[in-house]
Amino acid sequence: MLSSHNNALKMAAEITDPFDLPGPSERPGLRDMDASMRCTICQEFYDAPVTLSCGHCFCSLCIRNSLAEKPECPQCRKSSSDVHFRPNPTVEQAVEAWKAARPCILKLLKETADLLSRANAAPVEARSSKPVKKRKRTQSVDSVASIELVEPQTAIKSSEGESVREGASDSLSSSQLNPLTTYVAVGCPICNKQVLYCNINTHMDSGCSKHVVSRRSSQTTQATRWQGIFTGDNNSKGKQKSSGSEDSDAPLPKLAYGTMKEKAIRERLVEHGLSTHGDKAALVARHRQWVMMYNANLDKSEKNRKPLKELRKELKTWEDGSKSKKVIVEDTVAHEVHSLPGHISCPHFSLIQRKYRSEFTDLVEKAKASSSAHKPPSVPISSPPLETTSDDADVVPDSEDEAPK
Amino acid sequence: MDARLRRVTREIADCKNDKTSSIKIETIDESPFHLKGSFPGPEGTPYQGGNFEIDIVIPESYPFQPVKMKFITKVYHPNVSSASGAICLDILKDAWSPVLTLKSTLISLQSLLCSPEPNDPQDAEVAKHYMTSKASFEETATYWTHIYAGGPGSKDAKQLNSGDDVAIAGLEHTHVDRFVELGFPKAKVVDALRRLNYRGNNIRNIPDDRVIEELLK
Repeated sequence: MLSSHNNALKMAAEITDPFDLPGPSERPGLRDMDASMRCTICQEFYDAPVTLSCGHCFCSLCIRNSLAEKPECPQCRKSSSDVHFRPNPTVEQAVEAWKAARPCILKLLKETADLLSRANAAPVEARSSKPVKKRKRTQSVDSVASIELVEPQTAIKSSEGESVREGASDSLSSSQLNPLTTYVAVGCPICNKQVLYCNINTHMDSGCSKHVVSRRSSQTTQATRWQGIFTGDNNSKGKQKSSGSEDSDAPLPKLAYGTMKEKAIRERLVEHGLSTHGDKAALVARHRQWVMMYNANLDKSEKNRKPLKELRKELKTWEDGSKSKKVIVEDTVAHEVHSLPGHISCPHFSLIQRKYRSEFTDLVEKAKASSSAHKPPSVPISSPPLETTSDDADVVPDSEDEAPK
Repeated sequence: MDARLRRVTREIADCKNDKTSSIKIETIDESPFHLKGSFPGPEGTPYQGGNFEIDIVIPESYPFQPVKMKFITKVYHPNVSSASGAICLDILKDAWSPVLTLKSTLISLQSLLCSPEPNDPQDAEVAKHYMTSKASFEETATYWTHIYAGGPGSKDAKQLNSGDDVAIAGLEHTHVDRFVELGFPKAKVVDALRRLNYRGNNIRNIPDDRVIEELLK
């Protein structure tokens, strides 16, 4: 009992949740901030966040699992499917920044709390420590405020070591000199020719002669791009898809396992370098989980994606986990079957079926024998109305033939 | 670590941390997937003042499959089986969503006590009682709260002594006594009258012959 409690405590220490942060009365917004960075299904920080058509956001793998059970948004119950997913890199970035900033904030909060308690414990020293405490307090408040103001990109930077204040000033200068708009071609207001935005002033100063972007070159590149889309590129992409190349960005399609032969599923597994061990149900479960994990991985921004090797390892741990669960389930089922012989519910059915197979086949044979014995008298009763149409009359002898078999 | 275990641990901690909520969740044995929840009966209902305990079993594929809950405390309610504690509530069946938590589900159970749905009953006899005479139903529900959930007794507590099977069945002493005087055992009379819903206006629809017939079965 005691050891399990210790384990629970250990786990609790390992698991972060919004309650690590002070409530709204002490530090407004902090706890809610932490909560809003978490998936409502797994309650972890978003991993590969995707947005549904209704606007709600979940971890890709969580929502894929949920939609497999029921095709609706878990939050608002609007019908949804994985074709409506849009990866949400903005949230992904914000989560990354928050994960990095969180320990800093917790540390700052702890330091202020320590200082406060020390000041309270030693009232004689209070006068000398008061200014320090005040400065600390305002500092932490400032830093929190500036984190909210800082743009996501610079927030990551600041958490990597630079002070938060520097990050804030960075963001100001970078927004003034946005690299994206600098290299955009714009029409010159005098001569109407295309000029890069950063060169527009020197272009006009030179009497509309310098820095003109040659239209022809851009047209040709456009043409080649279109050509690429319509011919070569597209073909090669299609081939990559079908061969399941590792660099391909295309999500794996869901398969209709019911119509597939075991061999075909095995081939698919081999294609992805997965084990082909086990019966058909195991193969299908493995492939289904792989497709979900693979596609969820694609919903991350490219730099965060896991290598396929790691995904395969995760699939294995998932399978080991579900196997051990199954063993437990079968144990309890066996137990329940003994204690409640009359009670049959779905999960027990296969087990009972296996256990009483011989009795079942006996019963089926008896039933067949009795039904064929009862058949002859029933045929004359049903046949007169059927004789009116010739089509139906054809069907009756068929069923008669089948019954004795 | 297993995602299910992480989520459940978080949910238990969440309930402990939330000082404003009256919902409690605790472990029963070593397993973190078999829990006991409890909440106070809602104010202004027959369940007021009682403390209701819920048996919680977390399935393998939680949170994608609904959590299994049933009342440990006996409750007199149309949507709760008075014998087994089984609950008829949509979110515990097909209306489950993985964003629901143990806490939010327990809050839903609490509000189920406020608003019974006799048209979709779990316990047909209780539902009949509710439809026939709401006042009599509430008296019985209050009595059950008093003896099973530790709630305060009703106003006429003198009549309702602890463990009174007539009151538990939601029947009147005068009716039961009338048939006991005919020589039938009391337990049998209580059972038959309960089954026939011998309450309020419904008594007019049940002739004495029908009751005797039921008693002689």
